[in-house]
Amino acid sequence: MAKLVILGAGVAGHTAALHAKRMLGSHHDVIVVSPNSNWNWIPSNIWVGVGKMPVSKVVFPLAPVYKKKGIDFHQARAVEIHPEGSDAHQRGYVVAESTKAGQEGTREEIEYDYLINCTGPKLNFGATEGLGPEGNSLSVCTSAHAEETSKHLAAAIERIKAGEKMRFVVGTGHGTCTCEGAAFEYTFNLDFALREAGVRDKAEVVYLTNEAQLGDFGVGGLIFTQQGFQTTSKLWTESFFRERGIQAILGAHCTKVEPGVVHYEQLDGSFHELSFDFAMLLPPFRGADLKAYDREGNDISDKVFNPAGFLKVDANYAAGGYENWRAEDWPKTYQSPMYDNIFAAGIAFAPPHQISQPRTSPNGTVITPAPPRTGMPSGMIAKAVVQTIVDRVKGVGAPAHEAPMTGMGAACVASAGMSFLGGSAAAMTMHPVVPDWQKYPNTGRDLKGTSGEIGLAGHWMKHLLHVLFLYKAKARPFWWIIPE
Amino acid sequence: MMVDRPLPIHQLFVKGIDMSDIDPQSQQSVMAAPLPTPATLKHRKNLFYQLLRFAAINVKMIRVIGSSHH
Ligand SMILES: Cc1cc2nc3c(=O)[nH]c(=O)nc-3n(C[C@H](O)[C@H](O)[C@H](O)COP(=O)(O)OP(=O)(O)OC[C@H]3O[C@@H](n4cnc5c(N)ncnc54)[C@H](O)[C@@H]3O)c2cc1C
Repeated sequence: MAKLVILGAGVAGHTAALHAKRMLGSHHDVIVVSPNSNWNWIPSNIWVGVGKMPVSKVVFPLAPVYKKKGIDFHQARAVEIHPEGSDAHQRGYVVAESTKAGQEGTREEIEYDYLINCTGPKLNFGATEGLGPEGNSLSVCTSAHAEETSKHLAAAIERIKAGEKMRFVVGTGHGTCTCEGAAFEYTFNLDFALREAGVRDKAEVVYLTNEAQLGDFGVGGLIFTQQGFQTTSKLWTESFFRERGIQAILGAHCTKVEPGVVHYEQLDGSFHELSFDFAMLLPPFRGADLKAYDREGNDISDKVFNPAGFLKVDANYAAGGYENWRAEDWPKTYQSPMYDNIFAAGIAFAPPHQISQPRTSPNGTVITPAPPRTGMPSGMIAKAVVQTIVDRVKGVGAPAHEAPMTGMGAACVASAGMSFLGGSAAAMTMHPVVPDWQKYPNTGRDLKGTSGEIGLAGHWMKHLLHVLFLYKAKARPFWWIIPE
Repeated sequence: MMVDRPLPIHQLFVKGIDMSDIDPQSQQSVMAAPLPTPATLKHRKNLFYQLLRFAAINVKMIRVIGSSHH
């Protein structure tokens, strides 16, 4: 009997757990260790954050699903990995601290034959002074943050109705943030909510981003075909900003958020401050800060993880400067080079470098989006890793399954207003996620798989994805037919 | 409801700060981008046309998913 331990129950971890149990059956153990009792469909937090959807529609309790499927769920936060075991453990094991009410902090040691790290991002608000809900800005990264943000928005709209004029600042709270797509979505949903409330003409909406150009989205922008022309996501996004009257501040690294004032440096080295009445600024991400120890108890975290706390996998971390970057730098199997029974999926794996061109201000500040690892790649990587492990458990001598982000596409639907008849979204596809300039010298990506369009149909698509992914995550009948 | 109607330029700076002072380059770039025509805006909301686009987006996504699963 093999024991598979999965750390994290987000998009990657939950996908991995359900597929693993389906493929391995009851003869093998699948154990999930994750600190939250609920699953959250994070993309719909945007709608929670503008008051269009209650939190109850984006979360559900994990325990009943895992019980039904025969998956062992430990509501706990993993803190240590011991890949070589110890005198007391013949196998590798994980140390986890309970987060269950009444048992907080209780430590347990969980042995494994195979381990998948799917711990996603640690929301690193501490990287910028005053950033985040415990400081002076808002967030939509968790359902609780989004709910709080919606209350602030409702109050702001009331104040505008009472005669005030307001500035809303939405964007990235640090020069190395990722998830610009989420900031973009919140910006346009906010614009839509203000219009619906009839107060848009008394509000300024400013998008403050670390992207050097609009439409970069952390993937270096897109080139796609529209009405017989090749166009860029830059022009396309700029057009949307102009249409909706949204101001953009580009190439910005927030240095401090004070009550009502955000301070930032731009790529040209200049420093600015901007006053605001409402600010939703995303944090940069770190890894979950797990520690790793060898059999003798020596700390080997810096060998297993990169400095940001993400697990090193089969990527080329020595590619050097931008001019040397190649598609082959990106991982394929997501297996740790040190331990062949440890894998990472989703945001938890250490990318070899950014996707967007790296940029630094004359003051030496890095202002470049980190590479996004969105829902679809996170799920597909998780499934490929599980297939590899299942082959090994079953003794199939096949090579590891591969899911390189240079060979997979992604569908991104960025909501721009939630309403069944009046809403819209920017529906984008890209293939591959990481451009391959050797294979597609002019555009970096396959023009047949890369597209963008704005309209009501995009909103329907976004809503359909919400319904489908919640259905799948709840492991309802035939859930596995729905692709990642 | 003025959803989707471009805002007149004088309505962009209701707080009194001209953003072109702060990031003139991006401001210029955005203002130089093409605005959708009224027909395009109408198409984006037209139920019949959007139903067709919904089908087309589904096909595109299925194609992207198909080409990603090895
Ligand atoms: C506001 C917002 C909107 C987004 N919108 C979209 C979108 O429209 N489309 C899209 O494709 N992507 C979107 N994304 C990105 C998407 O949410 C991520 O790609 C996806 O969640 C990554 O999956 P993951 O499993 O790596 O991380 P997560 O889904 O964050 O899961 C991480 C899991 O690990 C757990 N964990 C953390 N620390 C530990 C620990 N020490 N031990 C054990 N478990 C731990 C967490 O509790 C969580 O369960 C959005 C992100 C944000 C923030």
